Amino acid sequence: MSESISQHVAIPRASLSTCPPCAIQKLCPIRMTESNEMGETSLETVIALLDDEHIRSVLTVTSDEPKSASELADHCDISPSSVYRRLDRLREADLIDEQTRPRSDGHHDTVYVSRLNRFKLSIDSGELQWNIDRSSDDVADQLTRLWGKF
Amino acid sequence: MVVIGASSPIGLLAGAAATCSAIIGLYIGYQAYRGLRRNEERSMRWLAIGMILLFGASYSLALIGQGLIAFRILPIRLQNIVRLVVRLVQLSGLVCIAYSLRIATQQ
Repeated sequence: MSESISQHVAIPRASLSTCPPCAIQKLCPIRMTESNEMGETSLETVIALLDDEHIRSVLTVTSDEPKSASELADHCDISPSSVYRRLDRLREADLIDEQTRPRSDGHHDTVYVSRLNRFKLSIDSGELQWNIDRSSDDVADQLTRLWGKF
Repeated sequence: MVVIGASSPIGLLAGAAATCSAIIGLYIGYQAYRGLRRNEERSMRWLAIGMILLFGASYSLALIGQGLIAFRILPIRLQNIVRLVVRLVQLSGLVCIAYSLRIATQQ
């Protein structure tokens, strides 16, 4: 299922006009509704990642099936080193998982799977809220997701 | 031992199936409890309680009840009471699961 990281930023109405987006998290109180190992992923990081067309493409194609770096390079039409750079950034934000795929010659390929299920941002009544739902292989998470679908 | 009628091969098989059901049911209950801890989903709490009542508690009660009756610690006339308690525990487990399903669909 998904680990959900929610951030809730209370912004006083009066300060909205003077509070630039990049400073919101430094100036305003942030309440983490769930802390986990990836609780430090910032909104700026997520937005910067999603701003990259090739990263969006990598996340989209690997959400369907695991792909190796060379397959991703072919798909995105960029060099393997560019793919690895983007995979490193995604790994740092815990938005991609590594798996191994056996080959017919007995060796293994490293393949990548997107962990980003949903990124949600809302601004309402003077509050900015955002959260990321990450997918997980954990049985407990899968059961929670499955049960919620009934 | 006459617990779960384990004197015949069919009785043994029935006992083994009941034990497997209890183990698998408790495993699902444990995963639901982990789901509650990891995702703070209220529906998982009721699923966990339901599975534990339905499989763990009712199985243990049936086993203990039959054991006590078999060893004459409890009089045999209480057999139906033991059955009733087991059925009531199973029913409450099912109600918890149904409630969990209702919460899950509302979320």
